[in-house]
Amino acid sequence: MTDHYSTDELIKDYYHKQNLSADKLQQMTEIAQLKNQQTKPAAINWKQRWLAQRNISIAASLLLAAIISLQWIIATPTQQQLVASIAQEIAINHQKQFGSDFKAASYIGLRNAMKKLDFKLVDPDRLKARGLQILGGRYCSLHGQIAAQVRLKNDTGAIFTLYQTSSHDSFNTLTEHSQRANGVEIEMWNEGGVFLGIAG
Amino acid sequence: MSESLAMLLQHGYRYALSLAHHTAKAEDLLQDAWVAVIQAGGPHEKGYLFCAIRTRFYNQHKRELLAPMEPLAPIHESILETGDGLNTVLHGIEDPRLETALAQLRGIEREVLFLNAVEGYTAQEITTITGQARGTVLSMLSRTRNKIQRHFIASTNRAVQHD
Repeated sequence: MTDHYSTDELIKDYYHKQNLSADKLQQMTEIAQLKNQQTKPAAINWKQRWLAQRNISIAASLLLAAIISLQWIIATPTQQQLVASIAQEIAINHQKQFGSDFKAASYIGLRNAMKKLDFKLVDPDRLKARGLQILGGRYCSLHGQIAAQVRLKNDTGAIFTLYQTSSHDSFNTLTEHSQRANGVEIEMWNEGGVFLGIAG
Repeated sequence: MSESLAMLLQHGYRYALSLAHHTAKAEDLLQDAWVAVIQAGGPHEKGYLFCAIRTRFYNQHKRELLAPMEPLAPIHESILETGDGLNTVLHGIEDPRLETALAQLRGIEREVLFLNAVEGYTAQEITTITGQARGTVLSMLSRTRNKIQRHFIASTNRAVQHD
């Protein structure tokens, strides 16, 4: 051996004769194969997991929607409940028999006096035939909305109170109703975009 | 068994052997590195496997320097006693002088020589693999070859004197 070339040849020859034993080679190949086998089910597991999570999400969304709908249904009063509630409120207001803050003999006069109302007081057609005399009016509230309470008197001197409020939200869905609350006869109806209720 | 996979593992084994110069250690190195490559989902490529082997060898080497470990059981393989007391376990050795010469080299010297002479890597490529400067690689190649040649000459002279 006299030069680098022959040294390299010797080294090359030496290492090329060194081989991993067949057993070890087999063992390491099996490690690779085992890993491949483990990788495939893992991919399926991911898919299954994703599907399971998707199904759980859908089920949870549906359940949430059902709960919200149910709560809305329960929380939303029926028309009958709404009528009863308003009738009760009118009856209580009527029974208090508060005096009038604004003195006027006509609806026009009251309308001019009660400037805070967000609607125009109407002269209800329904009451024209009854010959009711206007005594005055005051502000009140009905079902959380600003309303006007108009005190009326008939020929026999009986006192009636008329309630008027803007007919929006739940009021405009109410049809004509007559019912008794707290021993007071109450009539309710909509007219000219205004919700009306008379007690007496 | 895939032919290319077997070839890759043989390349890896020889590289590990160049570093450790010990068959059992080389097998362990290769197996550790191979398991790591598979677990990491790394490519079945020679460069990647070599890198994994090299990292494990030098990590292990550092640990051994810090805390020398004795084997729990004796190694049941033919052990060749070298002139200066180095123990090496090698299969299929035809010229014991070469084996002794390789055993006397440092790991990095055997590695650089192996990468150049056996794997055919250029000095620049060896620089990338080993992190050594190109000049260092070139001089190390030259010095390592000279060391082997000197060892051969000395061995031959000793044999002549003995006769």
